Amino acid sequence: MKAIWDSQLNEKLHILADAAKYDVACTSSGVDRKNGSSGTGNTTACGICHSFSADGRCISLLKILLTNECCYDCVYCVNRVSNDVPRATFSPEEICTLTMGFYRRNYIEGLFLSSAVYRNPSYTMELIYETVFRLRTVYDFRGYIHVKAIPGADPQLIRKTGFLVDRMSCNLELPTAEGLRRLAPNKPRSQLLRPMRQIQQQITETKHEVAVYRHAKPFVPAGQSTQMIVGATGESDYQIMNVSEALYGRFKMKRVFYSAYVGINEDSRLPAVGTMPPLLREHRLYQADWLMRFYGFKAAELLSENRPNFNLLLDPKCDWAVRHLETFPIEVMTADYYRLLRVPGIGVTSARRICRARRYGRLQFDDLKKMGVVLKRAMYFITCQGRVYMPFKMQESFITTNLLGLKERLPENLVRTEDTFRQLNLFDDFHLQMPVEQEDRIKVLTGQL
Amino acid sequence: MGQNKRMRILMCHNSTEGILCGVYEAFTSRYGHAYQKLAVGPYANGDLFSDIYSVKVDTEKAERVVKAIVNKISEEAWYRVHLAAEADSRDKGEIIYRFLILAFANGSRVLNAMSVPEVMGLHKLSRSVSRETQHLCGFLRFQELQNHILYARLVSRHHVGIFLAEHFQDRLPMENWVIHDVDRDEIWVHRSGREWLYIRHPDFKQDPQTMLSASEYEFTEWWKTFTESIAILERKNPKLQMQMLPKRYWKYMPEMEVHVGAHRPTT
Repeated sequence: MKAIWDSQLNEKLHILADAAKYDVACTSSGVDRKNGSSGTGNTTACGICHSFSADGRCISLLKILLTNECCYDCVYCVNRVSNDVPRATFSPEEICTLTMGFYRRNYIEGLFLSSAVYRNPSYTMELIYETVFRLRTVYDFRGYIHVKAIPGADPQLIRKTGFLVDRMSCNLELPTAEGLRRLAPNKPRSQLLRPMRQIQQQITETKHEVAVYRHAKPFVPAGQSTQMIVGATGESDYQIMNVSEALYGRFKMKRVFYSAYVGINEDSRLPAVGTMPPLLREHRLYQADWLMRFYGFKAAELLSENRPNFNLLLDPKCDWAVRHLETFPIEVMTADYYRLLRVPGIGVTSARRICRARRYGRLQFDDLKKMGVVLKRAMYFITCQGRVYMPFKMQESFITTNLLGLKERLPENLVRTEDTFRQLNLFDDFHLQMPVEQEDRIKVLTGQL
Repeated sequence: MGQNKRMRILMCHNSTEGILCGVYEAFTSRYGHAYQKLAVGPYANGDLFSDIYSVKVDTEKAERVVKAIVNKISEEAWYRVHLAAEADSRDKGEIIYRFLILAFANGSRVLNAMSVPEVMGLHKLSRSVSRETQHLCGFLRFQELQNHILYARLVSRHHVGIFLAEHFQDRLPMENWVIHDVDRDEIWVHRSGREWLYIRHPDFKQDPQTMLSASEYEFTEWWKTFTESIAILERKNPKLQMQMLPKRYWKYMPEMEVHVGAHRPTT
């Protein structure tokens, strides 16, 4: 048999994957769905990374645009209508072929379908719906699907799509309404928030239904996420963290992603083309994001009006700890879980291990080390059965110097130019336990859990 | 008298079953835990003061041990022991044996005692195996053969085939697939709608690489195109890539093919 080589599809794939690469989310986590012995695919709660691209980011989903023929003119975007870039559009059938072919070969965990706004928002959303519907029904695909909700699309379409997919996201694009007005004239903030609110309400509604009726269909079971560009406009970290906090609190977001702005368009309103993306700043934002979601920190604890930006040299948790020495040291054997989490060098896993282990016996510093506590960082903040690891001066300056001394390998030029290069670790929400919610309690009663 | 008792080394077959049979032998012999050791075959280092006994594999005995672990300790304990038993380690038999002595005496709460060396040892081993399984759930690559069978070549440090077979049993229930552990020469075969089967030293009539389907080339090329296009070159970071996707897995991943050749030392 001779191999037929569809170079046209290859070209399309190149254009539309390239156009989708600035979308950060590539997570396949949040739903645990067994296959049930027909069709193709399942999903696992912790997600699976299938490959890593040259920039070190995880490849979990087939991340593509449906089309990059956009009718909007957002200043920061490669696909803006006034840019001269090659354009292409997938047919729903082509996307299904690629997804199924890749999935069977275990290249991917599922599909992440985004799109430029083609003709108008509703028309684009309709196309996305058609693709997903085809994939779920004709191909009986049960893997992970993440789609974009197109702002301004008919709410009915978003609703229909939501019942077929695992995650939906609607990008906030820029942290402030002002920045949005300046750089994305076609996307007023109110229009971006509307689908977010709709999805959130729908999720809450169907959650109750699913809990009570066994066969009710879940709506966007893996929740919704969003993304903001960092460093294209002049907002401070404090503003960004406050926006995230509001998104997690009021919109019940599963994730907020931050994307360091990569200079691609020549425009007086943007940083110059060729400026390095502010990767270290992005990294710090992610660290702080984790602190808010899993460590019980508030944005206002980490930053304030007077200190609006993160210390690039020290991670946010160490930074917080050395400024709050009055709360330390804490005793490992007696401190509660949330107090343990506040110690630099103790993470969610090691805090949990400590809580498990100390019920069984007394812990020594050596045991802590074996459990994964980073002692060179934690030693200044804890006591173990009343003892410190080694004597030191309980002074902010002394501890800071020592913490800076060990540390993550920062780039050499950092001290000179402040914001420049460091790659983040784009790890994902692995092994996270969901809190028990009211719905789960009902599910236990109805025997679904 | 007891001081003159000779050490016994129970040598078990290198498999979960084998180790469990060793455990059965050790517990039922009433020779005393202090005078017995579990070694994993084929060879054990004996010395002047110990005798080597080899333990025969007996499925029934192994099953009884599994039942005992589940009932008297917990499901989680069995899960951990199973993972550890498939590890690539010379001491795994002894680690499992020592853990079980402690666990049978103390019940399920023993798993919490992270600071106890016996428990820590088991956790470490099982974590390492489970991590590699998770990696390979993502990094294993199937190729489609002419008869639509999906064929995957597996290279792994630990013996993780069975866990992968379980994973793909649920993921691709309607496909015919084969996972081939290349170094150990074993396969896990799955037929559409059935349970998977394990075969040692399979006899391939023809090299699967010569039987690839017509569309296989297309899909690998598309996949390479995709993985290249999805990278943001301004953020290029090969070190991070290597850290997340260790080189030992590259061999059968189509998107890393070019790199394998490029980095291979010339001999």
